[in-house]
Amino acid sequence: MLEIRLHGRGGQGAVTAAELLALAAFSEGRHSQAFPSFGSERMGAPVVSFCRIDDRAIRAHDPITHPDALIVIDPSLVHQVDLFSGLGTGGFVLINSTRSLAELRLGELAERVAPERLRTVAATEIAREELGRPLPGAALLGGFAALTGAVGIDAVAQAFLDRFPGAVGEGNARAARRAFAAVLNGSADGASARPRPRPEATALLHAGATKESPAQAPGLVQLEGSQAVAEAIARCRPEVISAYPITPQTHIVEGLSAMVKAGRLEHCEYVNVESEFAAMSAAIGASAAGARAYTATASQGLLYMSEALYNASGLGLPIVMTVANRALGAPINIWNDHSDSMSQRDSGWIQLYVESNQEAVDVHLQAFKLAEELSLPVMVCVDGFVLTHAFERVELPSQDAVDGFLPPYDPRQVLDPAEPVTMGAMVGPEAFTEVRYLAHLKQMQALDLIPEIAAAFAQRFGRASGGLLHRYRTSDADTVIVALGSVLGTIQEVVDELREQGQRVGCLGIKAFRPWPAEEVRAALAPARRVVVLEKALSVGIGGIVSQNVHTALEGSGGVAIHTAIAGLGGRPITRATVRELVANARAGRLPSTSFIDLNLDLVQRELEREVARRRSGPYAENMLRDVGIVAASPVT
Amino acid sequence: MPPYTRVPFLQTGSLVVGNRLLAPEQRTVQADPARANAITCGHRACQGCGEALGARYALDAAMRATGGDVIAANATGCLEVFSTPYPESSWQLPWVHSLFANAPAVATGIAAALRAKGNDHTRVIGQGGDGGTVDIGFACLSGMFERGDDVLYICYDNEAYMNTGVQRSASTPPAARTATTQAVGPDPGAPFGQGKFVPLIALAHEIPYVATATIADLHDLEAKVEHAMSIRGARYIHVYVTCPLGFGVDSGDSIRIARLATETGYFPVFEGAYGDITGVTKIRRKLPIETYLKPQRRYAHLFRPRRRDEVIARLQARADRNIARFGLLETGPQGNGAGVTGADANGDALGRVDQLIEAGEIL
Ligand SMILES: Cc1ncc(C[n+]2csc(CCOP(=O)(O)OP(=O)(O)O)c2C)c(N)n1
Ligand code: SF4
Ligand SMILES: [Mg+2]
Repeated sequence: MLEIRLHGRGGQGAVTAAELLALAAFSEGRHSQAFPSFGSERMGAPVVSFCRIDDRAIRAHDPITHPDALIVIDPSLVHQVDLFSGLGTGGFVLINSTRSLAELRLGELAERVAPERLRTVAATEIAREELGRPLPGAALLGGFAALTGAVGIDAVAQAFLDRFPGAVGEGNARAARRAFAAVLNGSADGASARPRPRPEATALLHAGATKESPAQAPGLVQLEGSQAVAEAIARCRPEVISAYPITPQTHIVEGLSAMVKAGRLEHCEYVNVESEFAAMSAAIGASAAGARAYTATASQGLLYMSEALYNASGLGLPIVMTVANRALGAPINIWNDHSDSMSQRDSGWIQLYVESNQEAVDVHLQAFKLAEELSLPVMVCVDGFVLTHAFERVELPSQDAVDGFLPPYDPRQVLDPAEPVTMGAMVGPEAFTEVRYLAHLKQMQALDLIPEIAAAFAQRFGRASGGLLHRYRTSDADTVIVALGSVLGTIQEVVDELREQGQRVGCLGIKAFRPWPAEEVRAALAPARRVVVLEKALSVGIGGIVSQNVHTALEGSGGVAIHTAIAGLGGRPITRATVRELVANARAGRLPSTSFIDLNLDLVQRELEREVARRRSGPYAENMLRDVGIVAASPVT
Repeated sequence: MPPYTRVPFLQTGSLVVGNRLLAPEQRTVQADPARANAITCGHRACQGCGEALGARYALDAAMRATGGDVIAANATGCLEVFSTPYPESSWQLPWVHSLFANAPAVATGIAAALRAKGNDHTRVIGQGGDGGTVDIGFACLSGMFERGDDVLYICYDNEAYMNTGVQRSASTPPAARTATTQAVGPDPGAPFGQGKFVPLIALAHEIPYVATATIADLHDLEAKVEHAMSIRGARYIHVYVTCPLGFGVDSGDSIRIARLATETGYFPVFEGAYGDITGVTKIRRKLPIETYLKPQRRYAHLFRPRRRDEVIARLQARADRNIARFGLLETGPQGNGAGVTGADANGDALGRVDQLIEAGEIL
């Protein structure tokens, strides 16, 4: 796998460049992934984006901390941020600059890299001449193609032509080719001509793995996760969509609103409501009136709908909602963890968690079927940013195939003047317990239905997606990591590594968290001696949430140690290194029953001391940030 | 009413007069080297952010009016996000951000606490963007008005949810392109016949002070804030602020756009009290709405690939209606006198709210 990090400033196109690099690789039949790092930064602030290229499916979703290549879009960053952080000696570096390397005064930074893999290219100037605008992305990717050979220059040029039709695309394509030639013959920094692309980069790709050409597979596209979800929802033919914007859900509903407005999604009303409470309430009204209803939200928005969530499930309305998982404030935080959906685990909604964008597409189709068969609402939890903003390969099912899988909505109950019913009447002590028991019973039926629907899906679409659990090398594992969502891919990468070293490690992905598949979890964990539950949420006052459920599932099965590891809160990356260390500690018996991964205890200690020293010690979140001395919104470190 | 009288300075063509030409007591708060700098430099707003500018003027004016004795409660939104990239904070006054929907109620709570403690000098400001004010926070806002809580609430209206990437709010004007009202389909942009103009709704609560202002006339904004701080009870100021990113205009054009918003009649600048409109800022020379629309990329689809005259005409009609409804056109002798006139000075052009509402749907 070739891992590339791009450094630029907001507004310079770092994210687009990463996407088009991924697109170029995709068009050559490779797997690729592009994703930005996120901040609340405005134009001009330093930003980072990432790209991975491989000939095998890419599972990892952690930020790139050890890049094989760097593309520096803004040379003024060279002395401002730790550009070269994590770059190995075999790494490639391409810097956008008219200056020579010597003039850039890279100093010891440059010594880390082999000289022939460190180049400058005058990308902005090339872009000015070819495009009339200082947008250096295309020229840099052209230069990158020459420097590494990891993508072909034709694919790069074509990616720009496809993304920007007309003169802009043509100008970009010319800029890419010019920079390609410049880097090949060394004209940018006056070094000696290099006749051929470097083979070292291509060696990182899993040569020999079968490439799949997009041309051969209809529906195979490289898309942002949010757009992929929007496409999936559109194919489910929703009739009412009501939504309220919140990061990182926005791109999903923006995509759907555009489809409705452009007339692509027929017989569908899109309602721009004034709050999440209204979004869920409108979905309740629509569903009660017999329409297939959809909404999406995240974080504060999910909490703001909370009262309506309990109502939707209590009324038994089969609404489907995407939760683009994000932390809860205060302190306000826009990054990913599972606090939001976990906080609504008792709301009566079915909760499904997905590990990739392909699964996000597939599980949404299944979710409508499940919801409508049970007449219960379903929440599909997709990791915010990590998945919603990752630009990846997905296969979009055809409309016909979806129509064959998901019949039109046939409600169990509907507000219909021809057959008037009363919904939402008060129930007193005489029947309330029975009504609640029935809600439980109905949700538990999903334990049978979810695997059935997943099997039907696999049969029709030829892909395994969804289900209750994902067992990954657990059958003989003595140590199993239990987790949910996008971190599963990263864990599986580590499991493979450790298996090669002979360690019996496995990973259990929870796909359906509500209802809780206790029996299946118990069976899957039967061989394990050590279970580590990696949690992206915290139940303040007790610790783990998923692990409480795992404990219930394993009740009475002696001889197994269950550890809770709280990690990834508020977007702190869970890297492969994090997982490796976690497993090592677990296997060495060094893991306490509950631990906080990568916790900076020193920081906590200082705040505690402040509180002892002074009654009016001040707001603690702010105090701690001041101690850290970093800017809250700085890019992923 | 505010002591401020607009001084026409016709040579600039903009009715703006530099501080140095004014007597010291007439100069802006910003001209005072001892100003509070309530929002100090170093925040992360985009270049040319109208909200940053408006908030700075408004809060410094409030600080001067109260001798720096103010607490602010802020809704989620650009203003909150760009001002507090901790450990850096721009706020030089006690400031709390709680949630998106609850800033007016948080402000109510602060005012109640002050009252409970017998503190009658510290004043309270609630503030937020249009989304936080006219949409999700509206119930809390209306409650705060209705109870007459001692809070000045300031809405910085940039006509969309900017912080989350420019989605439509109930303050987004018809035809404007946003991320949830895209320029696609038969009727590109936001629909006609939707949206609300909260200043008139605020007025309908019969609170002691309601005003609108823009960043084109910052002196006027300061005067309105200072006046608001001289009275007690629930008060509301609605400030039109340009967002270069969301409107699609150059950073250097923020103030020009706001000026065009008033000079075309697109955004009425007025004051009211206890349900009545008490004064309006006149337009000296009415400009066609096109001059306002053309520089903004959110309206580009009205001009390219083909002109949509029918849509432009509808927007012109909206502006004309404002002009008629609020009596925005200068009626006195050309080029003389103040821009701001009191109701008694210019009774003909001013109407009561109920008449306005009777005249047709709310803007
Ligand atoms: C309950 C809830 N829903 C949604 C959001 C996401 N959100 C944060 S700021 C914002 C938009 C702010 O718009 P506006 O109030 O107009 O202020 P602006 O950023 O335009 O100044 C949104 C939708 C949130 N924080 N909380
Ligand atoms: S997006 Fe608009 S409102 Fe937000 S900081 Fe930038 S200019 Fe200001
Ligand atoms: Mg706004």
